[in-house]
Amino acid sequence: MSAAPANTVEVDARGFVCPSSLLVALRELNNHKKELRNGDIRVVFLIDNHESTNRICDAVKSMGYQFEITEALNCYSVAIFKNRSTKDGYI
Amino acid sequence: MSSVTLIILISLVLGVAGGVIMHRADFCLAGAIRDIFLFRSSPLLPSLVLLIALNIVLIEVARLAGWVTYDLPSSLFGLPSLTTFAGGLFFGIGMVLAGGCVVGVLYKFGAGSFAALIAIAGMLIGSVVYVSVHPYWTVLAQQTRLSEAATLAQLLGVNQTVLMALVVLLLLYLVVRWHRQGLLVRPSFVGGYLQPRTAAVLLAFITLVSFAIVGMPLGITTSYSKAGAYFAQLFAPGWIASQEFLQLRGFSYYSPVAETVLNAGPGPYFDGLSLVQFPLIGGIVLGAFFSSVLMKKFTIHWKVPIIQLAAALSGGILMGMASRMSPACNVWHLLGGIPLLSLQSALFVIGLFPGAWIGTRLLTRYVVRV
Repeated sequence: MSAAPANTVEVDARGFVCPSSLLVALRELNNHKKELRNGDIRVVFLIDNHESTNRICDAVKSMGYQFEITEALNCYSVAIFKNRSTKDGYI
Repeated sequence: MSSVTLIILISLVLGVAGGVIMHRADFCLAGAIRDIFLFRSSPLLPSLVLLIALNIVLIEVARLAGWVTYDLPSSLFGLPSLTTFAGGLFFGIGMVLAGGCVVGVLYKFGAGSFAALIAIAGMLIGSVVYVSVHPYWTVLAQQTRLSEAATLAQLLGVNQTVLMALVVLLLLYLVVRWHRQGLLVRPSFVGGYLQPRTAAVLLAFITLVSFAIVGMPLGITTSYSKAGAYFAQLFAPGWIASQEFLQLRGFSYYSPVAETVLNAGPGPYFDGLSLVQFPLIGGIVLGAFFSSVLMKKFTIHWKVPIIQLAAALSGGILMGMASRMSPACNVWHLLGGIPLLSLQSALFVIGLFPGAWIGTRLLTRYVVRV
């Protein structure tokens, strides 16, 4: 069973000039790489552009993370995390 | 219905359709070139190459069928000069800093981007700044003229249709290769996304309709110059009236709807370009606005980091100036001139690449540190 990390780091990239939202997302993922890999945190990005959302999700998929898109009010909320169980090799 | 009303309506419809398509596919011409340098892979490039290949085929077939007539050099595409390369270079820097080209910022503004509005303001400022540079720039353009041939076919002395067929084959080879690598289809995780390759096909038909019915390819930047001059006139009417560049009406094209040749210029008056470009600009903004409202994603965020707004403004100013130096924008050259194998457009597009590289360096060093 998955155990979603409890701690959340939120990054608001709404209104950012293209491609700053994507660059900021990649930078934040890199900054929190260790905690993310350990499954200690989930990073949540608020993005108002659908293609940036696509590109961020595509990038994190290739990095081996999982993501969850929630349609918030006038924006997308993209949660990026790694399941603890995945890390332990149960899945 | 008068032909003027009809031209305005057709341009508005083309703009709205273009705005919806570009917004849904996020068909960012600036991004297609920028990402080659920024991410070393450009998700939009295959679709852009597909669009150019389709434009060559459609416009040439239309010409052979007699629906489109042009004879280069003309007001549409002139003779190649190094100043156009320089314009492409400045434009390349500007489009990366502004986060979109002259059309890209319009659909982004329509979807609620405050930074895009700042970039548009920058383009108006840049167009007015160019007015003082113009007398020297024209001399430079004449001194650095590279050839008396306007197109690659004229330069090589070969048949235009045959040369176009070869270019299309080369471009389609690239597209097929990308398709086999799975790069023509973009992964999407959200609803309402339009695949860029579908957008490319639709935009190719919009360019064709514009060329065949309006009488010229898609372009908008002369109207930025006009709008900038209208604003400047409020503060410095004497200066505006004394500038030779703003009195020129040297641009002319045959309008199939009006069945006559229409003249136009960059100054603050209503003319043959105003009735096409202003509705087109308004249409793109409106189309993107409707599209984002339908996706329930329209929103204006004022809280943008100041450094990003400064980049958008300076990028806009650069694009505004470069569009007059070139003397047209990237959409005009990429979707209109390259398909006609115009040498002027080729120089502009070649300039875009080093420009986009410089812009990317500035972006990652000063705007978003990575």
